[in-house]
Amino acid sequence: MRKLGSIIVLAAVVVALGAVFYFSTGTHGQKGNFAVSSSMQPLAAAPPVNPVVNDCNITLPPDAPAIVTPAIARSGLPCAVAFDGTHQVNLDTLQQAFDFNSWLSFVALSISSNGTAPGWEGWQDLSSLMLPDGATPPPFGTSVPPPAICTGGPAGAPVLQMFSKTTVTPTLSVAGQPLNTGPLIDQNGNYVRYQILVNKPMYDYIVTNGLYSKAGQQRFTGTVQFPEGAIVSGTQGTVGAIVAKAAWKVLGPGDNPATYETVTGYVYTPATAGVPASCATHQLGLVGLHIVHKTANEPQWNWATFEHVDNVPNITPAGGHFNFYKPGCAAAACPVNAPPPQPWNPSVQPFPNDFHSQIVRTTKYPAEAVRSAALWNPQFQAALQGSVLANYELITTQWPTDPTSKTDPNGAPFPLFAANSTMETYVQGNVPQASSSCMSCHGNATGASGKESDFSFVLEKAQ
Amino acid sequence: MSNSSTPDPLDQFVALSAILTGIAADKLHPQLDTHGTAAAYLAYATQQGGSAFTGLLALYAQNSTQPPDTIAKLILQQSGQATANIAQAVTLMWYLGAWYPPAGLAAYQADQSVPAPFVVISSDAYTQGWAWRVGQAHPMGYSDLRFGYWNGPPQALADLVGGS
Repeated sequence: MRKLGSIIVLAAVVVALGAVFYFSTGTHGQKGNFAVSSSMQPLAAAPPVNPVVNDCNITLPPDAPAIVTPAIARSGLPCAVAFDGTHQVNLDTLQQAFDFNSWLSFVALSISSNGTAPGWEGWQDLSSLMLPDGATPPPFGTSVPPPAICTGGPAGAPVLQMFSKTTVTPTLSVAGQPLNTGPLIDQNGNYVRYQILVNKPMYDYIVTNGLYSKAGQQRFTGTVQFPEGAIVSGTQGTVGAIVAKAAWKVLGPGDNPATYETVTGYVYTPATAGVPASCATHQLGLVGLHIVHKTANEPQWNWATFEHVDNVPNITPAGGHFNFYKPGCAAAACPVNAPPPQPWNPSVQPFPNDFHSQIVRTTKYPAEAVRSAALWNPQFQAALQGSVLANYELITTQWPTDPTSKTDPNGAPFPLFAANSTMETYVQGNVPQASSSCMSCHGNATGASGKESDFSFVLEKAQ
Repeated sequence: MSNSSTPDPLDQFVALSAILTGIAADKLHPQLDTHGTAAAYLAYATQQGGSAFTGLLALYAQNSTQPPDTIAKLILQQSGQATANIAQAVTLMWYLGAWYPPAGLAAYQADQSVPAPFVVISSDAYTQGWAWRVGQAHPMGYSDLRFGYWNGPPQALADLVGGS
């Protein structure tokens, strides 16, 4: 058995009440290298863009038999992953800690504290940060007016124009799709729309350092290091840079809006060559969400991904309703995991010739990740009964097992592969360098000037 | 290592493999083994190597307290050609991510004009072959390193394979 004494735990934060020792996860699994985490640095070291807050959630994963109560599920946003050092340290226990952290983060960021939109939906959209000609972005939280063609929606309605999670501006050409993969079409023939939003610490870091423009990035002589989440003492800590990537579907026939996190938004498609702009107001349902948090002990960030439970089957089902799969449809008519035929014109909906995507989940996860998802998903879903959040499931959390590795700058990610069926639809699988791995892909991220950009592609969108 | 009185077959396999390959055991099988290579290779060799492989493990278990060089000589030079060939197959598996059937290795030793047959175990095994790291390189078509890494010196061998 591998007990705590033989493994590395970087930071120990003593919680006075109950005299329980909490350990933040550090260079997981390395031996003989007890070190002081940056989470133990004095408060003055915290960058001004993410000041110390007093309400970090330091709730530990419940002991077996694990019971996630409604109070635990709603206990707030963790500043960093909490891990009980009295447990064995292995891939099972650590995956469970990261997945528990992911669920807490998902709930904290998705439940409104004051009856308004959930936290992450109020963050700043990438399109209001990376403005034409590198214009100075507005202060965080500023509602950006929609395009003139978009009218009639509620005040502050989001403008959803991306039809790939990696593009800001739609394009009708294959070359415009960075992964050359294609859009996702739901059962009603509508394009799935995407948002990329950043929280205030990340937004302010970008603005403060002038990284919102190509010219500003050229002037920036430092190394891009987004703010980190960390526990400082007790429940005091910092919230790091967080990115939310959301996938939304237009709710229509066959969909039950009561089961979705919904938003009324503008589905907007800018004009392109020969195709005029279009904009329509729709009710949309959340079908996929990445929550990516940079923390002091995981400088490669933590990568959580959630989906609506009705999205896709793992195997060919006999029946049922799925957002992106039609049971019983023959392969000739419904080719599995195939991009839609071109041309792709999101102004034309439903997709011509009754096409809809036929997607199944193909990424195989290691046993530890499967066990952890099976442990937490039912518990959180039960604890969230009465909330639409009970209709979502954690697919997995990818995290660095060796954040300070001298040979792998990605920190030896685990699981090796991770994919959300709504966002990495056509790059699912388990083939090295070809299949979706959050950290392996984002490790190559650079800004518009070609300099490394700390695991975020956000900066390359600067104009 | 296992605290049980019965040796953990995986620990035994890793310890034997460290002797055969010269690569540190905690590199072959890190505490947090994200690829699960050691377990996968143990299962693969058990299936493909049959009694020759289990015999090799038993031979190691009987002599595990001996110095590594003594164990290596015992396996490769003093226990017969069949034992040497299965040990070579295990070594090649770690280095090349491929399985060379011991019979093919024996045939190759008799007639080196015909290459020994092999099968690449998996795409993951290909990228995890230790030949790349011993050469301070990376597999063709796969690298975790950052753009422009070729502008600097290779990673230190000790960092890649362990030891000093």
